[in-house]
Amino acid sequence: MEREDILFKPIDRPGRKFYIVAGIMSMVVIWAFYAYITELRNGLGVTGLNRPVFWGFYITNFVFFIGISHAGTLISAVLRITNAEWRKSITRSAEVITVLVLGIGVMNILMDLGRPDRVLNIIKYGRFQSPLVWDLISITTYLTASIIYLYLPLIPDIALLRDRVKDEPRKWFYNILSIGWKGTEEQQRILNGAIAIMAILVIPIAVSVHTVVSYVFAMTIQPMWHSAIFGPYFVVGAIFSGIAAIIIIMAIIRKVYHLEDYLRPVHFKNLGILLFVMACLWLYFTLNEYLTTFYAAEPVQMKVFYSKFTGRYAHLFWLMVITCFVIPAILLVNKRTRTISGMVAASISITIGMWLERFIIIVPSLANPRLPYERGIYFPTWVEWSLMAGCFALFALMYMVFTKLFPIVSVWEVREARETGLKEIRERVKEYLPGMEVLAKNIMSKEVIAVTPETTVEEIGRLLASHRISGVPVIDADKRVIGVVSESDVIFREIRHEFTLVERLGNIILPELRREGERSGNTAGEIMTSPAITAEEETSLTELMEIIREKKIKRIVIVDKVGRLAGIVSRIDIVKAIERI
Amino acid sequence: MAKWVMVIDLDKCTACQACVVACQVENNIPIAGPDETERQRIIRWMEIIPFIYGEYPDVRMRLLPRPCMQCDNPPCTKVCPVRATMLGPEGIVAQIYPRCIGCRYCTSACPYTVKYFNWHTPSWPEEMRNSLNPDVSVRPAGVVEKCTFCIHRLQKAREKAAAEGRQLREGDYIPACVQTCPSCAMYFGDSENPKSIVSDLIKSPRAFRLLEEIGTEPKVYYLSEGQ
Repeated sequence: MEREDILFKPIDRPGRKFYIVAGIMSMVVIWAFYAYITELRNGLGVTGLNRPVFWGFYITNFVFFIGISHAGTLISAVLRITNAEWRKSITRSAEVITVLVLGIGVMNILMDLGRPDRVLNIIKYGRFQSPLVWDLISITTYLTASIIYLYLPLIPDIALLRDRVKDEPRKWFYNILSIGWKGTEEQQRILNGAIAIMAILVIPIAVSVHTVVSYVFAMTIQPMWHSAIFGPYFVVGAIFSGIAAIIIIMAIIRKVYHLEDYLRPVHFKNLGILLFVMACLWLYFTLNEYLTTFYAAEPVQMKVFYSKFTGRYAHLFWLMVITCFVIPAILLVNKRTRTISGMVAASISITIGMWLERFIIIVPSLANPRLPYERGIYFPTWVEWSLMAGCFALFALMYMVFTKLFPIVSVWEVREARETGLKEIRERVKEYLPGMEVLAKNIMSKEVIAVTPETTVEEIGRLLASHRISGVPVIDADKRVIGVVSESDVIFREIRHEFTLVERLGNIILPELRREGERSGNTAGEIMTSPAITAEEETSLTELMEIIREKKIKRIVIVDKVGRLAGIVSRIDIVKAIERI
Repeated sequence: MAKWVMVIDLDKCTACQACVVACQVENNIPIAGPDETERQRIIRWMEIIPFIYGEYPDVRMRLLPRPCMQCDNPPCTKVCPVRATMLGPEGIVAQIYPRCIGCRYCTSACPYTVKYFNWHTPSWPEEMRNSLNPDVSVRPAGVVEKCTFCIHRLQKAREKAAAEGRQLREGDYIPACVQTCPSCAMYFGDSENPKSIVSDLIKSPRAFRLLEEIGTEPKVYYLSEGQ
């Protein structure tokens, strides 16, 4: 419990810095709200939008934020399904991102509407043929699924908080949210099942979301929008920017909440590898997109193409290439810069680059219409800048509030990992690695010194001493194991006889009697432990260890299918076997 | 069912912009003012667009009056999420102002860029406010609008014909731009009616449509200039 305190610390005592940062963020949000009121009162004329650049910052932000949302839930689900053990301390912080930025993405659509008061017309008069309606359906489904997927693994932690907090209002709050979680085996079983179902469900939903976001553009016939590659291109870009966001946010909460022990360099390293893979994929898709356009050289397409490569948007286009690929590649490939701060730098670069990518996809196509009008120009106004700043501030604010209400690292999952993680991993590795499944027959000594029930105790003692072993199996004429004589059996007998003076005397004076004594108490058959604790040849090492632990014995006799002696596994055999793995 | 078609003879067109002005007045199009025009916020349902060929000193310019193309296969109606723009039964692409949510998806999807957005609440100089056309609704801020082939004139013509107990005749319904054109460069009529002038003109070897290759099937035809 002691070492988990750090996870509850932000909830127990919000620090002064929290209020300062939250205050600043709130001010930005209030400022953005003022900007939005201005827009509501005066119409979209207060933005820099015009004809033909009908879409600008808001739609760029919409695509950008929906893109960011892809990493959290999707990555968490993929890691969960593939049983990646290292995920456990990072999934929560990633899933929260998804839920928050999805909401912010949708808000950007509302900001963009000329008539936000009529937004419910989408339900009243909705046309399923419109890609915007696909977006609406897909995003609301994803938002719902993401909230459920965030909430389910949160329940046990909420129950921990319920039992932890003292004051009444918070106890009441956590009590309701914990929906009667007691942590019984039945509850845990249902929870695990539900999480598994959601993990599988959110993957196709997540992929669908950014695919249909891309369809908003790809379904039109506008130059450089109408592209079949857009679906996967957007999904790749979304995951790419999302992972970058996760890395940035993880680094921040690691520093602020002193979670160095939970968010380790290995988490960053693994995400960094993923980030580099996505960077390569992004470059591949970008190359495909622009090379095919360039080679076919259709005049309307080329107008847009050149406005990006050498024209008005060239500086943004090349900045995008540098920030999305060049900088991250240099930082992530070089071993010296593949540190946490290096990866955060790469991630910030990617976040900027991917925002530019959205902008570079949306605006130049609109600015270069097919007919020979004047080319469009677009400069965002203070309203658009303020609302964009507001979106980021609102995200930061909501994220901060979340960390004050719930543990940002999943307490119960980390606890579970600590308890059962190693064992689970060992089991899993054994499943697929040849030679890892250690069986009794592989480690047992096959040349077993065995005795018959008639062997005398003296004889056994000699055997034990000369072979330096601690026990011998007793077998019948059929080689069936009927018992075991161990050191202790011999010693106990010796001790017993040490103190019976009459017997000793009798043994010396009357040899006849001694023989008599041999027959009644001095043979293996009489002193052995029977029945012997045995195991079959196919028994695994884990099971052997369990038997030894539970029965408190020093060796297990291994028998074949019909119960004949096959070998023996002693403690030293087990030590050797463990050493090998 | 009628299929309304406009034909513009570029040989006759002098690019005098009378059609632009007529449209502006007829359809209560708000006055943008110099600043907003500079910001490309001006609304012109009918606009003269220049095609410039060649390089100095061998430059040729063609001027083209451009209303909404009233496509038979309109890219704009396809994408509307609320059915605020739709292809009417007689081939006119309609806008439903009270339903439009102002998402500007149709404006972005139109390959001719003929759709306009109301960036502000529309306004007119004091003197003009009393001369607004009562047959055409004034659009609120935040909705999309465009040329409607003066569809209100069709409704009026229908009502008039019905009152007189007769069928709609050729020439009963023509948009304001066509009516105004001083050089008679514009023709309007029902291409399904074999006796109409337009049904002849669109068969002319000079007839062409804008961006025919993208398959939108516009109902505005141009007659190319003679050399």
